[in-house]
Amino acid sequence: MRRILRIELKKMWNNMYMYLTLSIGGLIAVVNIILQSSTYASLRIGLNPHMKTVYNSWLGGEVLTVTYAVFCYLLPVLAVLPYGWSMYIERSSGYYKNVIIRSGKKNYFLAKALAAFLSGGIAVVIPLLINFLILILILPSGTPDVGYFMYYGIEQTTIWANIFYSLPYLYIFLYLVLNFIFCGIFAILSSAGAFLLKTRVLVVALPFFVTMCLHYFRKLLAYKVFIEISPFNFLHAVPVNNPAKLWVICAEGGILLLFSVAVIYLRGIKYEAL
Amino acid sequence: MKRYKLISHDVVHGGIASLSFWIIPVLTYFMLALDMVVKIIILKRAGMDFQASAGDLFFYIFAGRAMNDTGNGVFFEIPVHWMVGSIICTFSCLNYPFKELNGYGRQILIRGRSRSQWWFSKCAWVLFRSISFYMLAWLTVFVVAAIWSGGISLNLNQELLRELLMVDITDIHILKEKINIVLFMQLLTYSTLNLIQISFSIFIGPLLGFIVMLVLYILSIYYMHPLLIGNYSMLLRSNLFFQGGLDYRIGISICIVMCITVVLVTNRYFRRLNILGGE
Repeated sequence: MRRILRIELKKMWNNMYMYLTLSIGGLIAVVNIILQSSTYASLRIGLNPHMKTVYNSWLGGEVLTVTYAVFCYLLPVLAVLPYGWSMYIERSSGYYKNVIIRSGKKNYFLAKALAAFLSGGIAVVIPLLINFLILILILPSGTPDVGYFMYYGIEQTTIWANIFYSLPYLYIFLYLVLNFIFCGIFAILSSAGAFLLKTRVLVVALPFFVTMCLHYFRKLLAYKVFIEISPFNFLHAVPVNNPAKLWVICAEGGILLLFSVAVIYLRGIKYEAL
Repeated sequence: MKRYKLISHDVVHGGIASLSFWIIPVLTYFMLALDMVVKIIILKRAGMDFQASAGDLFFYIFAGRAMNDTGNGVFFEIPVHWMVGSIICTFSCLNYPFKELNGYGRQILIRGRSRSQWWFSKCAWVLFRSISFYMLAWLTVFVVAAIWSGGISLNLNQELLRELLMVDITDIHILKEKINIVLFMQLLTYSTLNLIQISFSIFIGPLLGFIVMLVLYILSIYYMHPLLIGNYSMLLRSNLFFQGGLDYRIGISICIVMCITVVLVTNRYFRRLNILGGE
């Protein structure tokens, strides 16, 4: 298991698509830094120190710039692009048969899913982390004051709001972990899609379409349900529209993970060609 | 192989013979139209009695996002109906040409003895696919309006649209009067977008081509710029409905120029492309 996992991690890290995804994410993060720092420079004189801080300006915590729009809505694709498609490629080329003979089905699919999970998380969290760390150097980063909640957008109903106003770095860390886990699940979902779908593009686009469906159903129930069900919105560290609920996030993540693992288990590990 | 044979092959095998050709647009626009029907029921229960015509449904689905409210302190949010319809339309054009570069499709390319003919045939297929997708979408909207809503009239209900889209339409009769222009503009925009996607896919592969289109759509929502042609498929960005909107005549010119450029540039590139290393 350890050997096949090492091989998979190496393949995950050393492929063109991982570098490409990190470059796309990095570019968005850098453009965001430029936009935020230029806005801060133009407003700095006489500015309320709570109005423009790192917490309401970093890529994961603002909802105004074009970089937010692009990063937020590309998130499911960025999570899958580095390695989520590899199961499809190895299955369609027949390469996986050679590996399974040597390492066993269970080990192979487990290593594959684990590598996909890590690739999804890394591809999204690294640009966010870089963006946050650089913006700390430029923008004020004192502890947020709850009296100025209108500048931060974090209200009482927001998850982990108490943490935000006492330990903001922990709040950011928790959101990075949430993004890591969800994007990892997107990548596993894409790997599961390799057993169900016929084309590589469809496999990569599957998490995007699932997320878009959830976003659509959120609109469908707009006048009835005021809980955030769209991953586009609840993976953001500031509520975009409705407040997120932790149980909804866990339930959605759990269902997607369960579905993906079930597909990989039944169509991969348990499946017998004879 | 004659050019018309290639085109008829594409139309049959990449279009009318495939079940997804019919099901995807019908199902997508049925769901999008149903959304408005559900909202009308919810509003009815809240004491607001509205009837939506086919024009209302059409306007609601293709409305997009109102102009001048992004980047000015307003939260960015995608117009989900417009986005879902547009992306599925674009995505449904992505796979077939690349499938045709592999397997027996490659034999057809060789038998055709002309890469340019093959490429032009694929462009014709993209146009056919875009037009048929859009027509099926219209048909679905009309059927939903006829069955569940207020009939197939093109009259717009200002109160209803204000309630659902939070916008005031300056001239409410314009959809009925200028329906030909609206239809043509939408058809042209989606055809151009699909051609751009297929061209990008030839250059950088379908995976990245799809991502480029996603970015183009998001930028079109964020910025109201004449060159971001996704804007022309949003009715709330058109000067037909709102003063200060994008001029549809400029849109038509830009789309036609883009179509011609994309087809010719990609043709030049495709003639020298190594098709054996393709996906």
